[in-house]
Amino acid sequence: MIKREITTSADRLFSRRRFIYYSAALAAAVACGPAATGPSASPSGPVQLKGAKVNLLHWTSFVPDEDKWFKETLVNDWAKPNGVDLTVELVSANEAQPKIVAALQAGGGPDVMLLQWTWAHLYADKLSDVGNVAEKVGSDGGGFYDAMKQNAQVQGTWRAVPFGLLGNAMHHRESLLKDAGANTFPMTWSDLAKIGADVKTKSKLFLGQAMGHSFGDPPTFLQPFLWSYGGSETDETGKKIAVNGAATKDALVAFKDFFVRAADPQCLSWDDSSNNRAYAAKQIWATLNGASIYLTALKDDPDLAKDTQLALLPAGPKGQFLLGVPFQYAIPKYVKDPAPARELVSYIMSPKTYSGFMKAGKGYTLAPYKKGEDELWPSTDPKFDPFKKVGTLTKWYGYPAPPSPAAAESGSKYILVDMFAKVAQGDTPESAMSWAEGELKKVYKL
Amino acid sequence: MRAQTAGRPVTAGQIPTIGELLDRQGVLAYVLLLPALVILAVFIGYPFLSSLWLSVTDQSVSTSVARFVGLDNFADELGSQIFRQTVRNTLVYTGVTVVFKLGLGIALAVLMNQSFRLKNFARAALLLPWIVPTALSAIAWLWLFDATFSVFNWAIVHSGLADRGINWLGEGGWAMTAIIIANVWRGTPFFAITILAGLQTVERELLDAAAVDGASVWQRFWRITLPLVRPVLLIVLLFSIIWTISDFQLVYVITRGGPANSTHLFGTLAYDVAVRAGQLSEGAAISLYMFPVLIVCMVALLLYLRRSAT
Repeated sequence: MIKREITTSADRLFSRRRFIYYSAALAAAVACGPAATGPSASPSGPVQLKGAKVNLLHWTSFVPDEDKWFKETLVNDWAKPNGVDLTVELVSANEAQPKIVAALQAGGGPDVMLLQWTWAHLYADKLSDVGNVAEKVGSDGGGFYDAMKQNAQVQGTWRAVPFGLLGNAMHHRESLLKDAGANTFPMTWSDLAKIGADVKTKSKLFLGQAMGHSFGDPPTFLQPFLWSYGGSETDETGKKIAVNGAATKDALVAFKDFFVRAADPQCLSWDDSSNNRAYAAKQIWATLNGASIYLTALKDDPDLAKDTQLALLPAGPKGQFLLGVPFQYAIPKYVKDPAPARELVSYIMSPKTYSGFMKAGKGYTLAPYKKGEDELWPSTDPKFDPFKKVGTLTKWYGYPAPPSPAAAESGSKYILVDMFAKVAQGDTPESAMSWAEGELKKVYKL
Repeated sequence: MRAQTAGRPVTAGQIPTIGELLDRQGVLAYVLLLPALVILAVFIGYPFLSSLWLSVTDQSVSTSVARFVGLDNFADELGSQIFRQTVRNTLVYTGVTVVFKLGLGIALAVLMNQSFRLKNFARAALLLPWIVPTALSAIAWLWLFDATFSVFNWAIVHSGLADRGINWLGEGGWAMTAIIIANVWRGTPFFAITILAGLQTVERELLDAAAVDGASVWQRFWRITLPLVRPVLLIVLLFSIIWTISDFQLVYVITRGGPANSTHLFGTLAYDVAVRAGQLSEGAAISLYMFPVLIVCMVALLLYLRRSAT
């Protein structure tokens, strides 16, 4: 066995033993460093608004001025005067849910999070009761719309405060509609299929409707389509899956007719921004979208804006239905001192502040309460008028049953969207309904 | 009895100093391994065990206390059409891409093994798809297949091949083709460079001797080159199968598993179910269905490496 002698100073310095000693010392220094040099812990006791830190998780709006309002106006008008360190974190709507789930599961993250749809029902156990704030906001705003209340209130407890509603409308090119012989946008789905086919023949342009896995346009087009023919996921109690029935079949047959005659087949992969781009590039003549398409055209392409008209979704045999995209503010239970977060939500949602926000966004996000459609209405442009009806007409995930965790999960899995997409891809209505029924039974555990 | 160390002799019953312990090869080996073991335990062991536990409970984001449900989640998935479609998608995606990557990788490696001007530049450029962050290259592919702005469709329409472009991401078959193209583009350089390294170990004399004996180019490749690089090929193949089965980024960015779930892989479906829909246990069960396949690949790889070493 060769025995190695330690003879030089360099050898001593880098002997195995010393190497271990130095490594351990370095690791200990790194581990202890932040504790030794960081700020001391805050004293216990009630936290004043001054000096509080609030992290607000918000979606990135399709209207940049809305983001600017949060990043600048809110910080300057509320955070700075009150001495609050406010961080506004903006994420795309499709990426919000993963962040929220991670924060709730880890028990740490944003102090206020913007939920969509009926997520308050999905995460109810992990959200604080915000009843005091919600009741005051609703009262000051002239009362919440029914759908906004349904989405935020879970078994009588407010788990979130309604923030707003994205009202979708059929943006369409008036000139192309007239070229095809129609003076106004069709009032029924069957007329839309017929007139859409005529426009396609005349102008070679399709009606482009997003139908991929994306938060806004696909469900807000397809779920009202289903409801307007009397179809639904479940019955009114939410205890029985009702999707595999005659009403859904009628809806799917009508949808197939519409899709084949008038729609752009590429749109099965579209997300919420694809139709915006296609409309701006004049590749499609109509699409369901929030007002962002029109607002962008006003700025970038006045001729296109002038030719653009807005209309609510057509009706089916059972009436006209809408599904605006609802948002709510929630304060997770892991927030140790929710007082600053509540103050922030109260401030944003007070009609006076909200009026400023609506003006900044030019009416893209609609108020969750009734004052929004009259005294707070931010636009003088008559093209925006259809949006005034959205709050009243809009329903929710799971309609006609009350919102539920299962309905929220079904929406997150895009089961109804995929049922329509399957028919568009060539499946029979029976096959698509049977598939949806199987998936819904799993979700509803029925 | 006395234990001999590099330092002072240690008598039985006497407690050795830390320094003396560290001078023992057996002890030192474990001390040096400790950081790696801690990292493995924290970042791989714990999440794996955690997902195993999740998969046998009914944990969701909305439940505070999880309940043990045995193998119910695994059984439920077998009854789901989306899951069964995902299994088919994963098999098709992995099978087709690996075959193409292997074929193109061998061809490129043989090409790069020749002498030509700018050889080193070409070899470096070959690695670009592999080096570029996947999320970034996936966005580029997303635009290439975009319904409105696809360059491919522009070329098809403007060259008069068709009135309308291909519905790349809106039709199930084409969407699968699109992600296969993107994966082959990204993965081929790994095959090519690794096989090239193997080719460079093939002794020139063997090929020259075969040529003198009258062997054709194809015979030399088939009878000499290929058997000699087979160990490299097998390792690359196994690694690629593992990575492709567990692929996520390319598919998530380009198709999000759509249209109508026609391109969902295990990774994307597990993410959608666990993180989007909040069904953590169901998502864990889906992702664990990958495990048996991956473990077979890993065992095969390890056995092969051990056999090669001996």
